[in-house]
Amino acid sequence: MLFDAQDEIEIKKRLSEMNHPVKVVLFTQTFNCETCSDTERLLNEVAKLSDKIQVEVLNPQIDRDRARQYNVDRVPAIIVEGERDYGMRYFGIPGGYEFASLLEDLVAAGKRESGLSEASKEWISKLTEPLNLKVFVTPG
Amino acid sequence: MVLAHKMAMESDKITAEAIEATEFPDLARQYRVMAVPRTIINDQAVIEGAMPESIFIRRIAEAIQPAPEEP
Repeated sequence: MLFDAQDEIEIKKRLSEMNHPVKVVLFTQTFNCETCSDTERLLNEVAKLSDKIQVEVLNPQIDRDRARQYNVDRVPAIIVEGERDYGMRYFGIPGGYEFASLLEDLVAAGKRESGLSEASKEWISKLTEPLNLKVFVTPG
Repeated sequence: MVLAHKMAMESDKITAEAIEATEFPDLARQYRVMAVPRTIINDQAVIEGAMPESIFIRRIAEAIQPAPEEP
């Protein structure tokens, strides 16, 4: 078990804010990936705490078309999807501080509501060109 | 990190990748990551550190606005 009983209660409570289904797509492989199995375990444990979360596990060497579709070129890679692919990606295990980010993303996707301010949403709605953000993080 | 992901939720134009720097030292080197969070905008501009939503968006807006034309 990754989470103790108290963790589980808190995570469950957080995830209970989700009112729509969310699919978490994980690209993983057995070889040359130190954190893949831990990432898969983490996501499966989280999914057990909400009936709104479904985890799909893919291998980029086998599921090549899907890897191309999601633009995944390294593992572990996590995609959080709501009614569509939002373009949210995690490369690497969302451990430590980033686990809180994962929970927040799951809740936002499950509510179909980013929670950004109206001013931010308005600016974003006016974008005409693709915008790619790479945010480097550490587990902390 | 969450801010970038939330931005991606709002638009098909936006993709936001959280990259664990210690797991991918090749990318960390390529994007000169010395401290986190470090945000790279369209593989060019950089935002160092965490900040409130309004400032983060303003920095991105400044980074992607076209350079003024030479007179």
